[in-house]
Amino acid sequence: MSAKTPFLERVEKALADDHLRGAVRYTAENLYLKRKAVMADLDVLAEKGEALGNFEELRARAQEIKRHTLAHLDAYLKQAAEQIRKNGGVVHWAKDAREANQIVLEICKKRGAKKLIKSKSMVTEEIHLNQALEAEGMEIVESDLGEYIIQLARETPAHIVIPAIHKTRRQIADLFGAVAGRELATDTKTLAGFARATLRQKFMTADVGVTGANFVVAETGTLCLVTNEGNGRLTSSVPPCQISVVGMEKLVPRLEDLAVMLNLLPRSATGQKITTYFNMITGPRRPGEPDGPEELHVIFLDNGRSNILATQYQEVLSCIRCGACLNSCPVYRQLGGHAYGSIYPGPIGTVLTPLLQGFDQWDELLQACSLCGACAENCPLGIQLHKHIIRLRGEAVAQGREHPLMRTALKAVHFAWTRPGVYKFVARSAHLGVKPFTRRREDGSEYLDNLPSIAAGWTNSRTMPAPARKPFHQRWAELQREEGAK
Amino acid sequence: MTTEQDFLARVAEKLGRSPESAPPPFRPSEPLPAIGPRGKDALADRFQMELEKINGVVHRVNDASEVAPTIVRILNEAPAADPGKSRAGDQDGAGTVGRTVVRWADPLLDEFDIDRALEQAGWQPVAFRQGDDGRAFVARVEQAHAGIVGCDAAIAETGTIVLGSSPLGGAEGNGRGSGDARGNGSAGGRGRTVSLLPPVLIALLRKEQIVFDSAQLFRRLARAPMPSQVIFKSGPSRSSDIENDLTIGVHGPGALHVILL
Ligand code: SF4
Repeated sequence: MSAKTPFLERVEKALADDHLRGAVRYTAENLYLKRKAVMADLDVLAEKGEALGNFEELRARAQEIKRHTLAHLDAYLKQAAEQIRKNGGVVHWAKDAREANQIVLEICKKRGAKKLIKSKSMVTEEIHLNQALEAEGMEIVESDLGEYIIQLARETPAHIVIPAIHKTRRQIADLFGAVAGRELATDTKTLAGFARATLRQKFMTADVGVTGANFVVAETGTLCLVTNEGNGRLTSSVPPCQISVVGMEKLVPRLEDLAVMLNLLPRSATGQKITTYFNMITGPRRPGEPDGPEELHVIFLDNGRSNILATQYQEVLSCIRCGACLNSCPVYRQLGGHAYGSIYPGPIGTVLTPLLQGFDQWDELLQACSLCGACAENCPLGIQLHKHIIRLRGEAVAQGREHPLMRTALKAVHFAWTRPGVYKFVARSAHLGVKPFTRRREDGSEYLDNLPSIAAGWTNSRTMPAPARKPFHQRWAELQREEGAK
Repeated sequence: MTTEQDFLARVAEKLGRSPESAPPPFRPSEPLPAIGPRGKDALADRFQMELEKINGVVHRVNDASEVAPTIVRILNEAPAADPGKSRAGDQDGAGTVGRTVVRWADPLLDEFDIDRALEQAGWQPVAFRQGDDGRAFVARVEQAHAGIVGCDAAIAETGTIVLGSSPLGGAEGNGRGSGDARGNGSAGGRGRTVSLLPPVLIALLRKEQIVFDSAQLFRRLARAPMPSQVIFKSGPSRSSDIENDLTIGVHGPGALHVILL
């Protein structure tokens, strides 16, 4: 069984791409440090009575809000839907990606719409909306600068908050140059200016704007978008029709609850106290207003989410997609988002993807985790991601999904470690067993290299200390004897 | 297609709940605390400090008569070669922008005689009037050099201005421009795009409109019907999507000036 799985192939590709790794590491670390600094500030402000709480307190409040909402989700969905309709919006329900895409298509067809513009949204990535629309001959343009770059490159986001972190300005200039039909300078001003002008034209002529939502307030039916560039605002202000695709878990009960979320989301995502735009949309344009969409459609999406309700994994649905867990993850920092192959990468993707889509293809992601728990520590909702990973690993094993050799190996370990005699024998003779793979350094220390088969993962890109010639038990006993003799 | 009943029934069933009409009221274990300074001056100082940290510019004026001249000064001084100035159809971003300035037609701005001052200085003010064509208005907004709006409120903690597509209701006492529209229907002369499409945004704010934190504002919003759009805007539009390099004015305005009265 040495054939490489697609996951391992992606990992290898990522590890071989020095530029990608450098960019991912730099960005993730940068965001991680910024988050850390702004949270430290928050704690100081809270101490002075100038913040709603320190990180821990806000996190506890956010958890309380989400726990309550998820426990009564059907009622809040119903309330939100009633409010949205009262505000003049239209509510749709989609049990899966296919239905959601179908609904978008039908709205477009009814309006004779051909050109769509989209603000940054992970959920529309999840349902592969772009492909579905393009297959019907429609144009859909990403308006977030990073997403636009990714779309031109025909790639998927490498990070949920900063999608194009792996692209150099040279590459971006080439992508934009292809659109412009001429050479572009590589400075940020030129590139951003070009994107602004090009996308502005798209905005002005788009028939439909597509958004996600960061939060939906049940008591008022208000959709909330959090952005820095302003593309969310453009998408919901300029085109004559707005369609928002919303994961059904995005609800909060009251407007006031937004205060808690708004304290946590930008800080966790980019280390900002607040993003440039926080946009609250309550219904379409009203009579007498000059602009804003004349039609507003909200599509609530299940797509596997209801399977997570009332299970041990329910808290995963409280995720606000801030990306803090990615930035703090030592595995993500080495690999970047593409290696995961899933829409949601990093710790949250590792947990969410098999939950939403099943283990097929995705059980391997669970192995790409060292269980360090940094993700859970930094998560603004305190989601115990590493514990869920262990749990899911257990489920995968219970379904017989581990490598057959791994099963045999672990059985052997179990056999030895539960029998003191065998354990002692193994400890004493281990260095003999791995002799063919043992190398000696100049200083006399020994290490293992080129281990075979399923153990290869340990030594492919690093070395491993060799088992001691004398096991610890034996040395300890000898030491004690020596001490006693003194 | 899945119906609302089926969708909700599935969720309820998973949760082991019987479908119920109203959601239970959410009562957090502790109410959100009242925080921050209360005094008008302390709030104004804090607002200014926070907004300046995120590249916004604050112009303090002491008298209503100074508002219009300040606007003219800002317009005349606005930087010429800014990426934010690039217009649709002008792909290099180097073209010239017209002398049009769009503004809200709103009681918040009425008393300052802005139009006359603009015209005298060679700028052409444009505002939406009831009965105008919305699309045509947006097209003009898109070509404008600057947008002028009045703030409905501001948040000192984050240097945030709050703009509604119609006046916010729910003020306790001191808020100007509040209550008259009750969020529904009648107020029309604003426009979401005025604060969004032009490269320069000028917003008028009165000291007494500033609250310390967002929770106070959300509580106010909850007391009256919500306008169709309410935005919190904190500094000029920004992005770090190109090699982590911060750029200002990607989609929204590249310059934000707040005139604090
Ligand atoms: S799991 Fe937590 S840290 Fe990760 S994206 Fe979601 S909210 Fe953020």
